[in-house]
Amino acid sequence: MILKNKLIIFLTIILLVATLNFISSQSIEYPQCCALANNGAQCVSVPASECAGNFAPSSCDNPGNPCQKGVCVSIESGECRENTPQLVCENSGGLFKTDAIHKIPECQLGCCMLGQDAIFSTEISCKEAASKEGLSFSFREDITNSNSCLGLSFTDQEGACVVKTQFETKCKRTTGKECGAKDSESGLTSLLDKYVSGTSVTTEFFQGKLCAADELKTDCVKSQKTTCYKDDVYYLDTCGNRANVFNSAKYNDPLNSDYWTSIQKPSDICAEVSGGSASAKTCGNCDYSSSTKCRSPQSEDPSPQNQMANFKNICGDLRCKYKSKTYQNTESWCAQTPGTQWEVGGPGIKVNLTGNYLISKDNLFDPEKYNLPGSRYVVQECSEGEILEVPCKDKREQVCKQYEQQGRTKAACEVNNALSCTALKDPTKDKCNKIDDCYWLSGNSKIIGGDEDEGSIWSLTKEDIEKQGLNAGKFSDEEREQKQGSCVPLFSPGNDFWTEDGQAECMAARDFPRRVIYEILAISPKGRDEFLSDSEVSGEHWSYDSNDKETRQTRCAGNCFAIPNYGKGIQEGIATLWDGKKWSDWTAGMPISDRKGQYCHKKDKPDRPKSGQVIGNQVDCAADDEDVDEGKRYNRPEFYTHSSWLKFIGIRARASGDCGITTNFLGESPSYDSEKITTMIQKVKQDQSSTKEKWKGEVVEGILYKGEDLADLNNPKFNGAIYPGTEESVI
Amino acid sequence: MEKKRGQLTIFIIVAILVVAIVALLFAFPKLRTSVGFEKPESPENFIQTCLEDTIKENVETLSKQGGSLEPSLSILYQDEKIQYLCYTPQKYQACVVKIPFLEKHIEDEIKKSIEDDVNFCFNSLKQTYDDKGYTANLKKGEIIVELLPQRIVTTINNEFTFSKADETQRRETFRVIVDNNLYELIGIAQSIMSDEIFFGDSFEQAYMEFDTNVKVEKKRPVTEGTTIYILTDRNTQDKFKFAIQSWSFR
Repeated sequence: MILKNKLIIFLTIILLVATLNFISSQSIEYPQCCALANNGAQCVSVPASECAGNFAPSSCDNPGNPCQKGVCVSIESGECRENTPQLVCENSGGLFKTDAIHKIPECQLGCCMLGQDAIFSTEISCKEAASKEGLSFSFREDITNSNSCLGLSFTDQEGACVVKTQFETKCKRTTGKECGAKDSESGLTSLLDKYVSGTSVTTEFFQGKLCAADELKTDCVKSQKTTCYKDDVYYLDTCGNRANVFNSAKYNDPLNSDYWTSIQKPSDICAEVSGGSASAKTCGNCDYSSSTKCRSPQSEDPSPQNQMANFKNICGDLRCKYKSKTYQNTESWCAQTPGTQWEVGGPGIKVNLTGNYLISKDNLFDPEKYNLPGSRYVVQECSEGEILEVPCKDKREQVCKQYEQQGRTKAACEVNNALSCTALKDPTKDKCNKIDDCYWLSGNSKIIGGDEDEGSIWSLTKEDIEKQGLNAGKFSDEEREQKQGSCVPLFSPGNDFWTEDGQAECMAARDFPRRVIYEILAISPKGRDEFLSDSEVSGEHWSYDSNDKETRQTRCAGNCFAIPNYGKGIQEGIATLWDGKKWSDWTAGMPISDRKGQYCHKKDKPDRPKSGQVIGNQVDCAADDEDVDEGKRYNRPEFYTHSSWLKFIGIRARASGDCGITTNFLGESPSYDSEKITTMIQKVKQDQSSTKEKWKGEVVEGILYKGEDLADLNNPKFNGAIYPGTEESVI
Repeated sequence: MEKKRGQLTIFIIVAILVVAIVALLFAFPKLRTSVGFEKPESPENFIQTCLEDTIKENVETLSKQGGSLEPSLSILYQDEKIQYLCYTPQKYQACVVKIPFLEKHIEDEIKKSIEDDVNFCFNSLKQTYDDKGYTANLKKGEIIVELLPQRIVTTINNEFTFSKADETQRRETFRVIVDNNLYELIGIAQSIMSDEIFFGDSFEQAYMEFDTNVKVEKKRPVTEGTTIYILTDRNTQDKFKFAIQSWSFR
């Protein structure tokens, strides 16, 4: 036992001696202090032999030693250096102080907001740096922590701005810049419940942190409330600060979890919610481009799976439904309006991104169904679940065109360039169809007949023909296809036809009246009379039934077709109309000829035309007749039937605008006073003079159809050669 | 025929005269100036050209040696003497500041390093103008060196007057500007020194995150407790090296 105690005492002494020796060895390593060493170093611990001056065999820290350490202050730059020997300081032009640095006013550090940066420095340094860098500055002495200060320089980054007094710790989710601004700008002290002006307030910024973060020990904690921010649904903390994007599955995560501690990207919290998706119940990461946005739940939105009663926001479904089709938010389309083309009710006006039609013009053109008087195009747009209507300009000055762009339907009102169709100089089929808003309606044309009425060309002299640049009936089939027709608006424009000006416009600008006469080249005068009497006296209609009474066609010499402005003088009345059958309805043995009219003149008898057949490119009009004047031969198969001619002028009138007889967009039949197509018939001899005694030598005209007679162009109402109640008149 | 021969003779004489004048001007440059064919370089350009390289070289040397041309307390690292900005020989003690105001210290060092060159350049300037037929006078003034963001500006308040015929011109201030990011690097060096005083170490990663244009390297040579810091501007490749000997006591 005694031995044991002796051993303990011995070991203790050894340990004590060793410890003292260690401490001694540490403190006596350089017990001397040299103010200026041989190598120029100041205040260093070197042996006397290496010291050039002011050697002291004691520590430099001893009071009174010129090398004692303290704080060195630069009055010029505001820098304060602790642990600086007095001699070194004074030799550097500094002011030496032995006070603790926090007691030296010039050395109080704060946050120097320099331009967009933040530097933790003294106020003098801050001013000096601002001066050198040419920047504005503000000095925040309430920020006493270097990291908080540096955090403020991340100006656009969000985080928790913690405002602290000795009584309370408040927090606001802000950017570093806002947190670093002076209180007069940020109003941060207003967060405090017990703020007394002039009392000490410190501000600290924690970039990327949420105010609810447990580690910040603020007065803010998580709550069940949500708010809308930048289209997304966010949880709020009890101080009203945004937490992270709503995710019902994460609400019960611990307070120190990332979800309640750090600002996270919405995409890291849950996948974007698209319109109509059930994920809106659980996730607040809305996607405006996929038709969702934060809003109060509405009937069409799914009920959120959130057990909290005060849940007030959700990724609302912004899609729209129209005519059984669902559109995404911001999509637009052409609405279904009466009398316009529409996707379901008609072909719709669909174009590609370069504006070319995706549907043929032949399908788009139907003036009896589309672009009716009073109709108007309308663009509809899906705007956050609501359908907004944007009417295009009235009277079809604009039409709605629809296209697909990046998988989205878009529609726009585009100008209907209808005037360019009628204004087209020297129109041809190709030139016309190149204009987006025009349509080439094959049929008769002044081009073929020149500026004279059709048929009259053959009464012109050769010089006149050359002067007018006319081809005198020698058009090739290709030329005829190009030139024989009218360039009309694809989308019939409207006009104020019910006003005097509108009527004047209809009458002046559009060439509706056409003079026409029918060639009924009956085989004999007797036959001709019978032909006429059949139609006018017996009331027999032209048809090709097996009805015994309907025999007039047998009297026709194979060319009973309407030839505008051609014809010999015939008796009163024209009844060569048939029952509206289309050309294609006729089959073999048709009562009208399909030959192209070929007309010639005898050289010595200009008032004696001669007709013949065209077979292919061969014309037999003059083949066997040597005295034919070739210069006056022409070939004009403009229309093979009266109905095709009638239909042409009707359609052309309707395509040209609201002047034609057209059922309006409400389905109402127009009144004669409001719209009309007046068709006049000129009964002339070959020299264009009237066949009537009282009009002898005069060119006369009379109304054949008008008003509602032509409402149905396939079934026009014929009222006799001269419209009842009207008279012929001299032109 | 004789008339033509006379004209040819005149042409030959004129050509010989032209060649002779050109040869004279090449042989005697001073003659070019005096006849107004050549003007001397502007004083500002002359001084900028004369001092720019010297300043750059001296700054480079200073930057490699911790801010001192002749480091008093230094460590030899890769054959270069590097100044200790803060040093303690004693373990478990914070380092003692050796250069408290680094920016001013370097400005002074640069100024000291170029004084002779400034004199030489201005004397050369005067001589150049004298040689070119001017009457030149030089009155020497103060030299101010400033480290500023992205540049070092040396202002020399020398008065230089030169005159010729009736024309007299005077310059009172000359500025030599050298592109350099030493100002920015020194700011970081001082912060590192503060860290070393407080913590006995520094957190280089924080500085690189704060300013991504700057690379902070810490080298530990054999000398115990010494850290060599190499700060590099990634864009300009400007460097600043310095040494600190401190002891971590945390």
